[in-house]
Amino acid sequence: MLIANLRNFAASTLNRLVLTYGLGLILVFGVIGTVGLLSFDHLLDLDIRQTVQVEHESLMEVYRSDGRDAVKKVIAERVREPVNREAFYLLVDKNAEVLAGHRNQLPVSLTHHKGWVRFPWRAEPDSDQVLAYVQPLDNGDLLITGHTSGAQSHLRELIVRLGFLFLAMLCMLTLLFSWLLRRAVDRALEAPLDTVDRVAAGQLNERVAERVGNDGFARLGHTLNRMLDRIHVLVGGIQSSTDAIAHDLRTPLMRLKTRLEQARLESRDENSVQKIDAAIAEADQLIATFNSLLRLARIEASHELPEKNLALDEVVNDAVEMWQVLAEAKGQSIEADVDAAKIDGDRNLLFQLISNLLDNAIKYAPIESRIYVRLARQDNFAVLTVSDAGPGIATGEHEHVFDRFVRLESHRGTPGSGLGLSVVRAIAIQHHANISLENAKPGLRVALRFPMASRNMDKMSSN
Amino acid sequence: MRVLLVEDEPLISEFIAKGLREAGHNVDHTASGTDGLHMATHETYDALILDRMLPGLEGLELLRILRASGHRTPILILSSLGDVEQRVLGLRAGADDYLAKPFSFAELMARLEGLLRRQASSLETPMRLHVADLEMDLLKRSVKRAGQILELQPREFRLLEFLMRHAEQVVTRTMLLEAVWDYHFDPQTNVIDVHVSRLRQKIHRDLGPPLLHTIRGAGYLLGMRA
Repeated sequence: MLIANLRNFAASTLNRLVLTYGLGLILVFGVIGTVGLLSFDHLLDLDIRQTVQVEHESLMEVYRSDGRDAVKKVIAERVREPVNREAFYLLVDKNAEVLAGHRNQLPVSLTHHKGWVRFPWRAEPDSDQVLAYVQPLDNGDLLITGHTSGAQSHLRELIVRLGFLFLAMLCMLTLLFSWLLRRAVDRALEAPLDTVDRVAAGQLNERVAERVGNDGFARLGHTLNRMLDRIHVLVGGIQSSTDAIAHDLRTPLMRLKTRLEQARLESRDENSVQKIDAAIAEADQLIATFNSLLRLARIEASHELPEKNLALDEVVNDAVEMWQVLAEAKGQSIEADVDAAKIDGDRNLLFQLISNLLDNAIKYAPIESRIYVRLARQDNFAVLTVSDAGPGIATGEHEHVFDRFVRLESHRGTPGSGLGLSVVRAIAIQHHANISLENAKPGLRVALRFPMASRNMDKMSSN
Repeated sequence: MRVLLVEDEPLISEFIAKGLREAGHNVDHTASGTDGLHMATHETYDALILDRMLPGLEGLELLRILRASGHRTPILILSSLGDVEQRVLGLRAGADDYLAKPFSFAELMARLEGLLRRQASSLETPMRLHVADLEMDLLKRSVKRAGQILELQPREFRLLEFLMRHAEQVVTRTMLLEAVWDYHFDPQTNVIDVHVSRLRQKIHRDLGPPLLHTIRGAGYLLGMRA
């Protein structure tokens, strides 16, 4: 789970990185494009003004030397046979009557003031714009000389379109790049993460295939391998010291027990027989706790699941049958609802796990209550739940109760070593099962999710 | 019965030898594996009690040599290596039973007697079992006491069958767990006692003198001997 989260996180970090990069690129392009477009407009404007200015001066020259009629004639000529198709001319009198030019009436927007104006060439919505200079003449006429930005504005439109096209391509490239980068990083991380997954599942001998090179990924593999070597050494140390302790303690425990039994056989006095029996019972309890600890260490160190396609339902039914009599002796009953489910596992340890759960349930549930045992298939998991109507466990204590020798304050005085749930958790981990404690309102519900045997999964996916 | 004990821990071997002699058996003892092998091949014994970690020759090795040379004597292994895997290893090497240290003498005696009895009765496979007025028909899977049919659950039937096959003999809780339930596990509460007492209620029910006895510190015994 941790590994999967890590993978998602890496992917989303990568995505964020690439998206940020892409957005930045688009923003920069947008700014450059806008500034470029604005200066293009400005230059175009200047250019048109210059052209108009020259044209205007030449007409004014005609007016000054030959008068109004000469200007009228020149304009009429230019409108009939244009030298420049983009040039605009208009001459109106003080009553706004058109004397000559491209229009037969004065555009509404024009004023009698001298200066630059903009108006459409024709009174149509899509008409090209004209930038014109208005010059009132001394007789009250208005001479309007202008120029459209027709060709240039088509060019401008083309540039804007190209710009948007480029922007769209940039977006697509960013997405493509993000996908490629993610795939490349995923591939580079896949081998080390898979190895770590396998090690987490107990194959401590697995190592990452080291990459050639000097980048972060090569270092990651190298560092992981060094860490795994270290873990291996530490685990080996724990294992061999547990074995040594086990052996070193077994012999004195055996001697203790032998001496007590010897004393009991030789004792003729009823009073001391009773005392020795009590001491033997204590020794047996000590041995039982010691054996539980050893078993726990063994389970935690071993990751082999000896049986493939083990019928978990049979083990559950056997355990329920065994513990039912104990529940009935307390006036309780165990209700079992068990679906067939196959997992890879160790039947003796699974029996131990269910037994510990049932033992706890019977111990803590009130007299005459019911204990529910369910085994159900959910997706590719076999889900085992044991619920009782006992006092339950406060949410804050949930993680804590699995630790060795932890006994809840409320349970002091009842028999038990405090290892039952530790053993349950160790067996669950060995079987790759996820364990959770829930509030059964009232009582405790322990839920275990075992991954089902692979053959089962194949069958399900082919259906 | 003549028993060879191969065990290098003096206190334990002394105690076992003494206990066995008190129970009426002849005991030869050695602390070394090589001597043990020599004695086992040159003398005749009814059973061997073998420790695993021995000076000279390791217990399992001794066992393999004996089995390879055709010795059929029942062998019980004592060992501080008590895991299921170690047990399986021992049984595969040819041991008839495997007892983990620390054990109680009662458990050892019960298992040893079981071995000797098994050896004696291994030729006959009876269809019916009798203990006093208790009668079990293995084919019909029915049980009668003093002529009256007893209604038993399948597990109770298996429990009673095991007890009847080991009649007049102490049977420990661990032996019952292994033989009747076929699971190797550690019941923290003594759930076996509850099963036995239910069975006892069904057998007794005013049908005659008590047959199923609890032996303090050891286990159970089915029979007239109390």
